[in-house]
Amino acid sequence: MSTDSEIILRARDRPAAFAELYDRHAAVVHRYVARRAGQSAAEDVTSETFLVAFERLDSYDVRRPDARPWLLGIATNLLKKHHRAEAKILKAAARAAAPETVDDDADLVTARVDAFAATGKIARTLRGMASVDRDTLLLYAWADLSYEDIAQAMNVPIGTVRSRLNRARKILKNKLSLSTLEEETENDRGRFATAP
Amino acid sequence: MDDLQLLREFRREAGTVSPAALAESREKLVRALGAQTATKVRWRTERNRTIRRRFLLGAVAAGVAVAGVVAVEAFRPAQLTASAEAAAVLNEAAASIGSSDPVLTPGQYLKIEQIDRSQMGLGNTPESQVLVPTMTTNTFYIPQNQDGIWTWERKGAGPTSFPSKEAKEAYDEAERRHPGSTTFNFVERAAGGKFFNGGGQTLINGIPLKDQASIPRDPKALLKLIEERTKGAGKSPDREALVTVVDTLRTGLVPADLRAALYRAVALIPGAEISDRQATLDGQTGVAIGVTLPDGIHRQDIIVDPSTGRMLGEREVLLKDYPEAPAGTVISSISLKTTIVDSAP
Repeated sequence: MSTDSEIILRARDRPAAFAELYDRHAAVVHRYVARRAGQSAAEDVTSETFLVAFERLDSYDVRRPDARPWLLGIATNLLKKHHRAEAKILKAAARAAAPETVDDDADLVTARVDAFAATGKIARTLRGMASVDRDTLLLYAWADLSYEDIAQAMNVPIGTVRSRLNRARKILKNKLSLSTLEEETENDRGRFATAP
Repeated sequence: MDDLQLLREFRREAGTVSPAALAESREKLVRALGAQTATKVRWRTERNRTIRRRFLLGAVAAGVAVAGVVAVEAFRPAQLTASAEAAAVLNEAAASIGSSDPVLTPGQYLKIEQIDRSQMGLGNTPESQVLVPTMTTNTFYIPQNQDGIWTWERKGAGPTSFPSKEAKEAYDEAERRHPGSTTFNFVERAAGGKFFNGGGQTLINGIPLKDQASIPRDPKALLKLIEERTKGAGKSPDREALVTVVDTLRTGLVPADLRAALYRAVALIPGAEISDRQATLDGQTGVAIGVTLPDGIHRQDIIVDPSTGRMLGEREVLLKDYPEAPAGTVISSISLKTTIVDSAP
């Protein structure tokens, strides 16, 4: 078993070896992009990510054994071309989860309803967020990258990652707790069960 | 649920991927990789030689890189063919092959087992770099009718030992972050050996197996073809020629006359010499014939049994001392064993 950096070293000499990196990580890149901008964008961006990565093999720091942060960083950049698709998805998610569509006598499915209501808020929050904050947050939450990985992926210092992530989470928390307040108000009228 | 949990649930269902989509984009990529011109590879190689050398094992100090530059001249082979001893071993191996190829009856499979051992480099900084030896087994079952279904078992056995406490800790940390990257068990099946929707097995850097008859059996012509197909690639033309021969033989599908010609072609590679008369690889002993890379840091070996003509495998050996590995460390090796079996898993 080779590390990613070993594959990259080999691929610098023998391009065909690069396909192994694709076999390892294409699914991760595809899933991340599909979640952000849909399947069609995911197909384009995944293909392009690996082509771009191959073009930039020389710039890869081979001291890093794991190439995922690098690949996801490239994918995140390429996603910018699909910002309309992403916005459309978030808009649709926000609309689909609009409060009026929530069933009001659903005690048994309170958690699901909470999550459903949260969906709309998350979608709206992500839409309204600065794109660098959104990228940071989603690399963390959806692509499971660490702070250090994100710093590498976005080519920024780790402190910047920390502050962007703090800011993004704060915004998200605020929106979601705002929703708790709204729900409590609703609950006063007997429409929602409160969580302790 | 906290904000992160809710976010992690959001659009979870959208994060799917179809094998067909992955296969299609892989095909595009492989086509693009194939289209890379030699010029480009050469440019890439020249420009990065120093950088690569510095980071080869992650811990090479700039001083060593300078030493490497000096070594380029020192290791430039003076002779125009392999050393006489190496050529004798290779020609003996070629003669031992005779004309016998494994004969399969319908329903039988050629089982090709490759044990791949490599030193996995772990650690984020050059100072914290440690090596952990790992093992992967690739086993191919190729049906008598090669248009039939091929099976490829890929088994990652993980680390075979931990040289130090630090190595164990670094491995555990890597495993925690990316579980299963060295321990896995996959079985792939593909008609005609076209795994991952690729083009199927090839010889000498991309010649389809079915066109093997067109490959010259004259050693000089064969080496010329190999050099043309690897022009500008790799760390040195000699090493590239040797690796191409090894890659071709490792398929286990090369007919006897071409196997013999490949050995005779290696005997013509400048700088190929005997590096070890008693090289042992996974319990099999043969003669190692190697090419030292221009950087003077690595040697690439092919290991053959001159009495049977079998290629036992290949290995890459470190020639200089590093903090994490002394000179003589086998950085990677692949052993090869071919048998005939009556069934595939």
